[in-house]
Amino acid sequence: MKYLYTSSLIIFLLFTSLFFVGSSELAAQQSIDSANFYSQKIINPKTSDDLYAAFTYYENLIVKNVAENDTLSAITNIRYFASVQFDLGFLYEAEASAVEAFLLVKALPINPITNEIKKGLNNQLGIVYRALDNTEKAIDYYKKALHFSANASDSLTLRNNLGNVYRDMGEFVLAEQELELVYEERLKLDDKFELARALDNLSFVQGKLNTPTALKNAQTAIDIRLELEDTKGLFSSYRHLTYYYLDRNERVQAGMYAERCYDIAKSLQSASFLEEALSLFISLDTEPKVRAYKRITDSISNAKQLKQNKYAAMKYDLSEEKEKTEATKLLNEAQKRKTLVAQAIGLIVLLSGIFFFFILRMNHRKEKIKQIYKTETRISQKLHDEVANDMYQVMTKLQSKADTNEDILDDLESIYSKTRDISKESAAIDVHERFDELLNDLLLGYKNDAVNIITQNISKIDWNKVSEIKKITLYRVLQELMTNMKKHSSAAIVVVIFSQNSNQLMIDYKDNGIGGDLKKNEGLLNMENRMESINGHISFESMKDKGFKATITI
Amino acid sequence: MFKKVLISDDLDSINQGVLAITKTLVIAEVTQVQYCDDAFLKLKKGEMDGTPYDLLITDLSFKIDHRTQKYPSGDALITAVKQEYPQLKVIVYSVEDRLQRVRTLVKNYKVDAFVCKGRHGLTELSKAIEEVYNSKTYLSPQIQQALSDKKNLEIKDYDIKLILQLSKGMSQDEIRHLFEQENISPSSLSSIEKRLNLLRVQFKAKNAIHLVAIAKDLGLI
Repeated sequence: MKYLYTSSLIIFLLFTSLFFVGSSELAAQQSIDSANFYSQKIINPKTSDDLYAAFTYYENLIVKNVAENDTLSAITNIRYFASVQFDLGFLYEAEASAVEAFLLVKALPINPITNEIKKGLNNQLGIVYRALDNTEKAIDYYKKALHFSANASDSLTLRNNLGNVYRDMGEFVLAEQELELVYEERLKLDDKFELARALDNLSFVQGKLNTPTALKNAQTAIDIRLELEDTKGLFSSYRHLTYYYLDRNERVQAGMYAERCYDIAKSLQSASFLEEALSLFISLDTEPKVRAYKRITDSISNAKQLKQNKYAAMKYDLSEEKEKTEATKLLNEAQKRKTLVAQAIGLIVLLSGIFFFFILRMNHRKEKIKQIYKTETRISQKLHDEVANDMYQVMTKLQSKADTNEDILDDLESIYSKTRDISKESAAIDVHERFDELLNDLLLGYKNDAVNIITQNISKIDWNKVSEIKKITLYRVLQELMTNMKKHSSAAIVVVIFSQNSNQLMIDYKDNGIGGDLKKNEGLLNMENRMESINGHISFESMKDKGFKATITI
Repeated sequence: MFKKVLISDDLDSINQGVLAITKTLVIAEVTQVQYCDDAFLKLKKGEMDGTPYDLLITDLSFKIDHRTQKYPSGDALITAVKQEYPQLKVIVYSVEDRLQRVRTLVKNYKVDAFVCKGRHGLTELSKAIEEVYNSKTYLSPQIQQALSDKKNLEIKDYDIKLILQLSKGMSQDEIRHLFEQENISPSSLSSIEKRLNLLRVQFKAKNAIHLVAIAKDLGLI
């Protein structure tokens, strides 16, 4: 019996599905006359062409809305379109349209308007699932719709739909409870259209439960509907009465109402209405073979329907599953991003810590080099001003005396010049002057008849880019190299070649002296230490009688 | 000879030595001071009295003591003096022998002579006084390079090219030809010869072959 209700009850639900479209605030946006015209055609189709005309109209309108990026209008029109599809019997297409509208509305911000749309769409889906005999889903969607409902009339319509599903399931007591409540509430509101519907539905359930008032209620509904010229409503009423009499085996009465249904279906030219009306006649037939045929076709179509349902459900669940997966993906990505941000912050903190540490260490080292330099120059100054000067004073004193021993004077002079050399080794260097001239002077100081010094590219270096500390260190190292040369090499020619690339300064020292063992020299170690202190490097190369070579890189 | 000389040095014994020199050079009036500020005042007074000083001999470093000085060093004194009395001759007599300071004093402050205190300091000083009197400049031998052409040390890319061509066995004439072709100047035979001679001196080479050998040993080519 169950399939009978489901397959036969589709039509009178149509009103409900449309009801929300018309009643939503969006209807206000449909100010264009043609829109009202067509929506009226769906709600109450008068001629056979009305639905097809509406179908084409909305199909075109949606394309236009999408092209204009008018999402709200597109949603509204898709819903009308879904209604038309439903009316024309394209259930799965109607479902697909409703789902499409759902996806669109989900993308919009939550507000009363979108809530209204969600309510309407849930209801539409509930209706579709009910028509597809998926009562569980239908109840689910109706309840969802109730959740979004903001006014009494809408809530009642939803409860009505819910009641009808209970009836489909054979839960007549539950259904009567629900529908009676709807009817009582409807009485308080001034909407005859809806009152008639409530009464019709209530009376049908009452008929099933053998409640005495059933027939009277059914008649009242018909009277109201005749007054309102509610064609679809009348079809529903007549059909219910057909079943009412059929249940009681009063075939003449039943046949009369079936005829009325058929007349209306013919005038509507709707396949589903016609099928519905004609199936009533088969139910009325007493011929066992016809009844057998009806049973077998019903069971076949039922089986088909079930198969289709399974397929549709799979399709839908698949898309839902996909949506879920995507949502999870998004969530995962958000989580990933969060983790990434946290990691990045951690990394930045760590790096800046390390950076800070190195800066501090570098500053510390720079400070240390500066201190050493300061101390050196101070001692040098003292040596020069006090010791050397005093020594010179003694020398002049001795010189002015006639009987001075020349040997003593010579020794004194030697000490004097040694003192001054030591002082000079760590004297202050005025690196603010032109550094190439300063270096040139330094090298020039070692040039004499025995040794010639040749430089290359000394003035081509951009000395302004070299820091003060590096200049001082470089000066000292070159000074040490030259002093070493003077003391040990016996070289005749010294070549100092300067070169520079984007981030490095290189100085090559070469002489043609006697060369020798590198290990024993303390001066070399000293130079290495100095270069290391400014992150520079110096390497030496020497072999007996092959000269001496040093390469400095900063 | 100079008639009026001012000696500014805070070491008395040295002043004595200088005084002995001035005596042998027969200088009529020699005044000595131990502070630069005093020196400047003396110079000013001489100018105002109509008997200006002809020569200032000064040290560079002065010990700082309780007296606050307007001119704490010889450098400061020389700067002021040369500005006020440009015609006054100045001889620096100092232990200083850094070429850069010498050059700065001679070139920028227009010091007439720079004598280094040393074993032969006094002899050099007397020489300096005579030279300056004859409107010449004088530098002690150990600092004479200060004014020599500083490019003296520098070897040019041109020189390297020259030696490189020699090392390939090219004659001077062939090098001239090549340089002409490659627009390297100077390319005249006489310029090349002159340059090679200079290089030979610089590298202490006996001849062109020796020059190439030295340059090769030093890694220049």
